[in-house]
Amino acid sequence: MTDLAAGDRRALGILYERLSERVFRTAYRFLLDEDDARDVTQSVFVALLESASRYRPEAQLGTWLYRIVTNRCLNHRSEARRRLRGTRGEHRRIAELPAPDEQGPDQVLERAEERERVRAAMLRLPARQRIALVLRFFERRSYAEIAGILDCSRSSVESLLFRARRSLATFLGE
Amino acid sequence: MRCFQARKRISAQLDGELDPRRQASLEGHLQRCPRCKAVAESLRKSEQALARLEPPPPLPPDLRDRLIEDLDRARRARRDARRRAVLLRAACVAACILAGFAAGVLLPRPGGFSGDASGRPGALPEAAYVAEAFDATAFGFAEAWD
Repeated sequence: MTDLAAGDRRALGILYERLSERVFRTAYRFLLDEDDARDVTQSVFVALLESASRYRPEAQLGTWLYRIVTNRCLNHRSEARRRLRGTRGEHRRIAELPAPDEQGPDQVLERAEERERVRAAMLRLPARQRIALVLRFFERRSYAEIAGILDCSRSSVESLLFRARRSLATFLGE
Repeated sequence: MRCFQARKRISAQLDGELDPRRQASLEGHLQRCPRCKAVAESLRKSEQALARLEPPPPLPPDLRDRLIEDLDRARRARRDARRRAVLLRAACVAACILAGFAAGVLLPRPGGFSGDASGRPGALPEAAYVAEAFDATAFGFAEAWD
């Protein structure tokens, strides 16, 4: 990060190799859309370059990175576009299903419908609850780390995750 | 432990974030309270549902190239903005100099000449000082010649 702050573009390349998968994966888990995740990933690395001079070495790079990713995800205004693209997206997902002879066609469709149901339930969650759930369940961040990323107390994280899970259970009819 | 405390901690239990004392306390409450036990079960099922979400696709291979294009475009935009700012400043300075010169030449002298023959300027604009000094010199030269 120090090299990046000094304007060394190779440092950005190294950071990209190390971090791009993680950034893209986190963005995708939150936005549940490949194009949006790609846009956010790009903007995260631009932000990394622009804010490199403000990075303090004593801060954990992981926490700092996740904070940038989180802020970009929360700011990303894609809900309207997703509603417009909804039909096209479903067609694309159905096209990606395994061929019916690998599994029974009924099972394939059932699994696809179930995924879509869970996906829709996730998208209904308030943004902060959703990002807390992504950071905990998929990225395996501790409560203390999530508190640092979201700039809130540990108790708030506990509360966010409880509400997220409870809302998800309600939406899924569990 | 009260129900509202227990329910909040159920989520922390799923995440392995409860210390042993609270863990034991929660387990004791769940054994006694069927409603909280049902809540725990529903939260567990919703957690399992997350595992059924579609995994992320692979990182797009063209993302790195697009990022480099983005950065280059941003750098060019910053450089152009800096150049525009320099040109604007230079134009402002030039305009001020021109305005000052024009004011000195075109504006009438306020209340006439207030200096004396030696050329002391008084309250006159700069261009007038030069003209007056020339007049005074010419006058002195004419006197000396006479």
